[in-house]
Amino acid sequence: MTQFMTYFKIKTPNVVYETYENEVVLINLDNGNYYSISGSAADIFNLVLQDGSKTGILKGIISKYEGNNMEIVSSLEKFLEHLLDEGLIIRDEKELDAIPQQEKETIQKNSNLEKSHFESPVLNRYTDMQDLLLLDPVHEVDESGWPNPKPPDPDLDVQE
Amino acid sequence: MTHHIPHVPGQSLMKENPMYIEYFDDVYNSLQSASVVVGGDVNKYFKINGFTIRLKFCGQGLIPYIMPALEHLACRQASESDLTICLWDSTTTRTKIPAIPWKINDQAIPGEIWRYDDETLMIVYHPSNNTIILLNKARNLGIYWTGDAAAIPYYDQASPLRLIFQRWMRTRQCQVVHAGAVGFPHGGILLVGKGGSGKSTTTLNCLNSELLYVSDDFCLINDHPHPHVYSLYNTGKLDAHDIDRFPSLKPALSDQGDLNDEKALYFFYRCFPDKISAGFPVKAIFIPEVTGLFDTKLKKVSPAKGFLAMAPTTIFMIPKAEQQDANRYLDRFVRKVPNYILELGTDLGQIPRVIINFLKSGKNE
Repeated sequence: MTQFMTYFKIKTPNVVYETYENEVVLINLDNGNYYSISGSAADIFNLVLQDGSKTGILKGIISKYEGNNMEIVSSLEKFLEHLLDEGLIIRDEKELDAIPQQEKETIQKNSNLEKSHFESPVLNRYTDMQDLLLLDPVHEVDESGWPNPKPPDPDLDVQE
Repeated sequence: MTHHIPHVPGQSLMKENPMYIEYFDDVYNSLQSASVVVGGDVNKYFKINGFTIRLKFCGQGLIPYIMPALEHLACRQASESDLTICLWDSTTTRTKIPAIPWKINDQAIPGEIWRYDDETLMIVYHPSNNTIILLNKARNLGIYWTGDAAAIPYYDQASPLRLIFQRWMRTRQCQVVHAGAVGFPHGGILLVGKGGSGKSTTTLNCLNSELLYVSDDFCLINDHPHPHVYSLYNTGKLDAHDIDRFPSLKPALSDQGDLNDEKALYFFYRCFPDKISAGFPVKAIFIPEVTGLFDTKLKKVSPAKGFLAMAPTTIFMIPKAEQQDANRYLDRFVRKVPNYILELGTDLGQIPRVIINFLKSGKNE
């Protein structure tokens, strides 16, 4: 029987992001919310980018940070759920035998580093643009055009 | 009735649609008729980032509502222009615009925008303002139409034609951003942040100093070969209760009347022509933050803070298909200059002094 592993990936193209050293800024183009993350949160995000498997992310974090492993697992799961709830990442399933080599390399690379104390990841959320988008809603039109041709609107000063 | 309009974020622009090309041509023919009714066109020329922009007004109707914000960029009549924008209104020209070939909500929401953007055309309709804006990118030809010039809201008079500038300048590798800018001819700073962060307080304070003014709200940036900012508008906006904090600026106030629901609008070029600059190299990005403390100070931060303060307000002004590209552009820009938090103190006189000291100290080189 085929076994599956949980993977996460960034919800592109709806979500755009830029990485600055140990800080990441994300923008959700769907709803106008934007976010900044740093520390362990940025590391988790980068591990989602590099590998994406839940196991790989956990191993990557444990190899970089010291702390109670149960607490790290709990914090990681809560943070991933938070990213899912905000529409920043999506969950995926892959066959177990398709684990990429990159995951192992990431873990090996971090294993030689001096570990930092783990602090729970924090997602800083900004909603002021969402308010603006609600005040000034923009309707984008696709190539099929607007859904229904319409006769001249009496309220619009148009040519008859 | 509301229609759901699907969109495809993050994808390249759509192929041109003949229906909209035809509509553009119909509108262009109507404005030619409008021009005849009012006895011809009035041409005005501007320079922005080296580009010659020609505004072709059908008569005088729109001039008092569009020109004041742009008059600091006026230049001599040119034989050729890079971009021509035709402007007309139905009230003074007694000429109606062809009906839009689509259906929209029966009840327009104030501020609502309907936007179509393909590789050739952009069409933007503001139902509540009764305004239609068109840009044919292939022909470098824009059209601005409004039903009644007198109904143009104060915020559009503060930054007229912004959507056309924004869209056309992107085809020239420049980006309209939500930012203030003050400085000297050899270099200045961009002021970025959301509304209420102290951006306008900082900009307007600097008009009382030796610093030159480029922008309070919207300006144009170019990151190649070096970061540079260009002025678009000589305007400023303040909450009505803040007017008395800047008594020396009162002569520049517009005569808009009721300020209960509107911000106060200033046209600075009228009163301070020597204080307005067409632009300068950008030496740093400042992010104002009101502290409540007495002194004003600078604190260096990572480019991420500059990006966080500038990108969202800019990105959501532009079409979905271009947001990722703009995101990368702003990311490049904030990495090219140092970024600082400008911790605003209550002693307003210190604010321009801190900026001047920074620009003259060489810390920015």
